[in-house]
Amino acid sequence: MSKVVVVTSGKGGVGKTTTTASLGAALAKTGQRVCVVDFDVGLRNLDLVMGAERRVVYDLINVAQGDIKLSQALIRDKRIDTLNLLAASQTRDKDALTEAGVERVIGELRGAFDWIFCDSPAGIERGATLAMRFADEAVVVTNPEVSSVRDSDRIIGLLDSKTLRAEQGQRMEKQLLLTRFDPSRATRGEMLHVDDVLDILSIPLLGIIPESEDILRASNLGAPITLNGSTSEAARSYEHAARRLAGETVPMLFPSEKKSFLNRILGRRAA
Amino acid sequence: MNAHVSTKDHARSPAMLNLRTHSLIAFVLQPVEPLGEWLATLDGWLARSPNFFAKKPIILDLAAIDISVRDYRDLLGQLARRHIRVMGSEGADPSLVGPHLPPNLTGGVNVTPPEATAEAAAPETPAQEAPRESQTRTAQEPLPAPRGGQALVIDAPVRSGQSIVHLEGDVTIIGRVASGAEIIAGGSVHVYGAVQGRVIAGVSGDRNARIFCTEAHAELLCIGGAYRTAEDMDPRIEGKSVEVRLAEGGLQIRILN
Repeated sequence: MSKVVVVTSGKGGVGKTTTTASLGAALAKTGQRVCVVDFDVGLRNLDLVMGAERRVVYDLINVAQGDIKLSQALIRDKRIDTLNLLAASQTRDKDALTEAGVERVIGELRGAFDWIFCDSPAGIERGATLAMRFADEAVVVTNPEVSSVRDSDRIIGLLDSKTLRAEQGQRMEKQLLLTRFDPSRATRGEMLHVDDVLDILSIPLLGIIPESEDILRASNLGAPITLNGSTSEAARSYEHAARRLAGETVPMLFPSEKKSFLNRILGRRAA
Repeated sequence: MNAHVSTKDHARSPAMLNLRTHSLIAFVLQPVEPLGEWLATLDGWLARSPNFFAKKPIILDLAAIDISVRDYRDLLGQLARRHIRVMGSEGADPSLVGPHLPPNLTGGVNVTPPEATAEAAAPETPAQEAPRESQTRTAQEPLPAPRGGQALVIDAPVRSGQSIVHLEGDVTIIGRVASGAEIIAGGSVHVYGAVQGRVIAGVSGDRNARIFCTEAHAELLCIGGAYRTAEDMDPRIEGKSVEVRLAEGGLQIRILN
């Protein structure tokens, strides 16, 4: 049984592409056949984060328009052979994607993979609605900021109305991935609390990913954090989120505030 | 919107005329003089609810103004620029009815004294038909209570960008009305949760409509055209369980328990 998961958020820059690559890689490591699909036509990034930017020959639009076969466009990861990428086109615009074309590509991917992750572009326009259109479930990526939460709320509304599953009256599973969570800012009250976000969005929590330089570094090097052997808290959080997505019960880790030795001393003195 | 009853399953054959009657609820806008100020008030409203009138049938009540055909055309142009499409006029002078001008509609049911920019009545409009016998509007007419409509119960949060429009009766929401969401009800609105968006009650002319919510953080509350935005609400009601009703001189917000 293959599953199509859309990774979406409404707002840009919250970590959709990083999440797509990290969850995809984490599941592929367990032997599952995974394909990550970049729907951000015209502003593709997933190939960079996956470290495959020099290997893109054909893309999603070529396959959707029927110019070439799916197998010609799939890029197999050099580190894990169960991980595949279907890149977006950088030179075309979103209008080149048609609903019928996307439906056919997703249908073909379902026959070949256990997991298909659709990396949605930001916004609520055509690219974003097509990315979610044929999904079975959604990972809503949100930062603990009011603007991000409101945009996610909007996207959840669209997931419940504009997807094929919703139109057929079926339930669209949605899970929240809270990213770029900064424990020190949260304790200072500069960010929304996890409970506040969950209260507003009222969907189950898939995981909390701490803000981390390791993630930025991993993205720039083209190696998803769940693939590069990192033992950081962020890598572990993504791995746990992937296991929860696959149906496992993993206790939730709340990112802790890292205190330096000096801070601890000062903190104790103050107390 | 949902007042629109379509009967698509009817047999369609070229040998039949397929004539049927169709009833819908329209919003009645009553411009008052000076028109410049009235348009400014309208713009203020639209700035808060840009899509309030979009795709809704609008009837222009011309009883309160005395304008020339030229000014009338100008007014229609001004409204069109604000995406308000006038489907007909009410109480228009015969000189304001003619080719390329909205038809004069009569026979509208339920009238309320004009309060502010947005008022609604429920005219029965036969689809694309000639006007019927007249029933004039009188402001002092006692209100035929438009109650008795069905209540709509929504068992889920109303998300940002979603708009619940139920012109026939009360709306009850079990959940939150998010920032950027909108509830428009003909009757009262009950929200068992936080309201961060906009709630507009009594649009079908029910001046007894009320708004209840268990946690008030609303962007806008409105009953029968009288409205209050977050800016001009008493900070003491923030986060409280409140009841809002229409009283002399505007909205009255009361903290419950």
